[in-house]
Amino acid sequence: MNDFDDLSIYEMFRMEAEEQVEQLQTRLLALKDGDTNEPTLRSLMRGAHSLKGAARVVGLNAAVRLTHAMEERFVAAQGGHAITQTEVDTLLRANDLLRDLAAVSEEDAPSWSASKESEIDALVTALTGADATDDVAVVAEAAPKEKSTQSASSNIADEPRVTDPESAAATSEHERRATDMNLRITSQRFDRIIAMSSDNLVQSQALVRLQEQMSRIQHRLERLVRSVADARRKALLNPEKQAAALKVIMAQGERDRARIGTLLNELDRMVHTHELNSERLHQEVLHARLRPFGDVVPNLRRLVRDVSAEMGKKVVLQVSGEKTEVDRDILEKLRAPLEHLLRNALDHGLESTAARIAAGKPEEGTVKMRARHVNGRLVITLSDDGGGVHVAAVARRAIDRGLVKEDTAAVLSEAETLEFLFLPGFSTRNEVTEISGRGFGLDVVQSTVHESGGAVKIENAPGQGTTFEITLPVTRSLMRVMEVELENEVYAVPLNRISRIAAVTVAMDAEGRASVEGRSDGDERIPVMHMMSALQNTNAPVQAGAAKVVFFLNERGQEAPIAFQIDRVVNETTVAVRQLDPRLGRMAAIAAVTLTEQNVPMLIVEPDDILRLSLQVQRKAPAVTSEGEGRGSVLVVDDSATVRQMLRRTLLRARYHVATAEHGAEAWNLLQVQPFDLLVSDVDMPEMNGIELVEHVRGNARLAHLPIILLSYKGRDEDRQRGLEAGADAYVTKGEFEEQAFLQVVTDLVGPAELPAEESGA
Amino acid sequence: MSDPKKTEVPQMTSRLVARQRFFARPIPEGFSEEWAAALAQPLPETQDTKASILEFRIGDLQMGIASRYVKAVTPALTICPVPHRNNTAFLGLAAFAGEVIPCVSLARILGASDAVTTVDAKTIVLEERPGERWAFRVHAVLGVSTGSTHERGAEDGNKLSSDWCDSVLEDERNQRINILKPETVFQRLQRATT
Repeated sequence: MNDFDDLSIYEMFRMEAEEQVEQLQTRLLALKDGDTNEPTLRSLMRGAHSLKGAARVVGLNAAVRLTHAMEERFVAAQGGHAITQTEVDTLLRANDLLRDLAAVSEEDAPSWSASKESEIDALVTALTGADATDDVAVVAEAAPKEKSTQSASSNIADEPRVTDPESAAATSEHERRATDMNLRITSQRFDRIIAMSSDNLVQSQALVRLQEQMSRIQHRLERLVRSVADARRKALLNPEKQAAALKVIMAQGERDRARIGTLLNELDRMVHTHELNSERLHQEVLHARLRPFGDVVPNLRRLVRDVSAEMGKKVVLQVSGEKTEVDRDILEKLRAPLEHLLRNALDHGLESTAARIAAGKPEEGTVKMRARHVNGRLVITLSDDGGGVHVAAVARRAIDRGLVKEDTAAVLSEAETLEFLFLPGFSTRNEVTEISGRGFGLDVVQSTVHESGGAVKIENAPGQGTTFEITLPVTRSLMRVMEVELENEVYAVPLNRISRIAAVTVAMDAEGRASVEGRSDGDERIPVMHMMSALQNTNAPVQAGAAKVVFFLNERGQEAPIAFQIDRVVNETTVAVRQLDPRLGRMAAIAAVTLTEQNVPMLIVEPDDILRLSLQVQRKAPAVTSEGEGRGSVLVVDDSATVRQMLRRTLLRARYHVATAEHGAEAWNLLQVQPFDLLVSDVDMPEMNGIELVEHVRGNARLAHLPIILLSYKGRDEDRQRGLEAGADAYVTKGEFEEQAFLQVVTDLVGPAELPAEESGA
Repeated sequence: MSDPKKTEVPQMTSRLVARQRFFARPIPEGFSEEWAAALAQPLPETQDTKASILEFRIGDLQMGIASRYVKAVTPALTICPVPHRNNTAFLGLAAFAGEVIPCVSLARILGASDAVTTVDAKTIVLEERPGERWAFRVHAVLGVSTGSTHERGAEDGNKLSSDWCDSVLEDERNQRINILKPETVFQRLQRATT
């Protein structure tokens, strides 16, 4: 049966239309003013012609008229009547309409055609040069509207997040239908197929082991046959009957050996075939899920073309890594953040042409976008050669908006100041433009990327430009791992992150610090931590002595400055990665899970978390135990070191014990192992945000009644309500932070500190 | 061999005639009205309180949960503990039917003994909705019981709070079994898991 047998003719049309409009757009964008490039024009003509034929088959006359007009224009261009840039715009708008049509269901197609009739008439007139000038005006008015509709699904800069629920629902319904059509199965089912095929591949490894076992049996049988032969020789000296019996046994053994040999040959063939098939199946399924990053590029080029023209700036978009494969879900989620970052670069980043010339820069601004895989993660960088972010202006706006006090702003690092850009509604622009500057967007970029398990970084070079780096996991795949045993449990460590494994001598110094020798003579000794310390956030003891197994992780191409001791290396193998159940929430240090050949779950650790947590345990464990215990103890959670220190000092002065954590996940870990009387938490944090932390605490029987203060720059009523609804007892806005008022809230919730000043630490 | 059809024809004919006479006779007076009135009466309200529960024991607590939520009863599953979560009611992850599902100690949540060492120990897999399964260990599965449900009374004991249980099932042997409230069970399992 053909793959498309179960599709209706109309679904086939939609599928073809989707492909054709993408190709048409790419080629139209490549057309220069007055271009008469024959191959390009021919392929454009063929595209429009094919689409016309397909539309005719399903009886979509409106689409037939439109594609016919497009085809006619391309034919005329082939005859020497060159296409102008204005006409390219018209053709792009016609193409947008066809894209919209590809998302419309069969039952909605007639009403869609009727609603677009006048617009199509106007486009046909504009392309063929026929009369109906009134209709041309309609096109001119309708076009921008259509343009925004076309990009509404991904435009987070220009549109409020919820504008028209009905149209948003309709758009999303269209998108869903289109997606379903391409996949032809639900994505959940697709995921299950991937899991099954991955398991299949893992199971084939079990067959290899079975083969090895059979080989061992064969060898044992051979030994048995030799033993029987020996016995037979001895029996020759004894009664004849024994010799005859032994002869029979030997013959039987020989037959069995031959039989096993045959079986082994057969098994060998089966294993080989099965391995090949599994590999092929998995690759086939996996690649169906992966898409080249280049899929999103045509729309981005279109955006740059339209927006730069609108702003009167000359901009070139340079894209590299278009063949980088990306999970289709991640690619879909990337569209909106990338479009927003591009708009920002065009509007805020790149200076006007005059300003660029005055600064000695090329008249044409450059935006570079690069996609690549780094250590199993997808990294996308977007940089411009504009003026960069004016850090002082960001700080000033934060002060003006009451987000931070002047003296605090003065001590914030550049990175901390730039974090304000990711706050909702934050913009340094005074005016609102069509392109950006309405003050929302970067926070949505950040939250969208966070939702996909990634992170956004901003690097600023004043006068030279800004670079945004988006890092995302690529987790739906097979992974080579090293299985390591820790306290009788086996964990998987991604092999591509292991720099080396060694059996070395671990020495302990007078202060109980474990270390191993550096790689070469003269190198500093490398500290060693038991891997369980990082996993459990505790100080698991390192075993000193010779031949202890340690491994080293690589970090950004270099060996990390810490070694991890493990009990033993179990195996090196390929595992099928499964996403963690979302009901588990975020888990520090764990990236995913897999099933072993024995059908037992095995956790796959997240090397970056392991490194970070291990350094925290090393650095913070003594401070936490001395400051965090006893009544009147407060856990302060904030990803800004400045805010953390400010709160810590405030609370210490009021004679509370204080422990600190950098984000929700770390705080949650501390709460599991230490008693606290109060939790003071920021809202926007990596790993686990403040709202999630509050929900975790309230959902835990032991901690459900722990008083919680949320502290945030977000001062809107809805933010406050969200925090209180999650279960916080108080919500304090950082912009309105007053030390005495804050301490009063603390006292109201937990009472005054009962500890003498000398015990509270400093 | 004789043809049976030939000998049966006269008998069949007389039966058909009798049937035709019976159905062709006039309807007795008031018959239609009587039936119309009877059918117009509303049906008596009957409350279907029959239920089917899976009965099990955790420590000295004996209870049941509606069978429709029970996906499977299996021998004790091997649990993979999860770092940072080992001091809560969440025990770890277990593999069931090719899926990785969270495994929770209902005993710890209920405040009962958690030590499961007997050979009768089993794992119960519950499914709240498709794709959302939990496993928890019990000391013994006592079987499936059906019967009528009643509000829990004072005679049913108070080892389980009303949050957990407000009804009992009375089985065929007139034994009363506490029925766990599914909404509470799933809410507590979810809390323990997150």
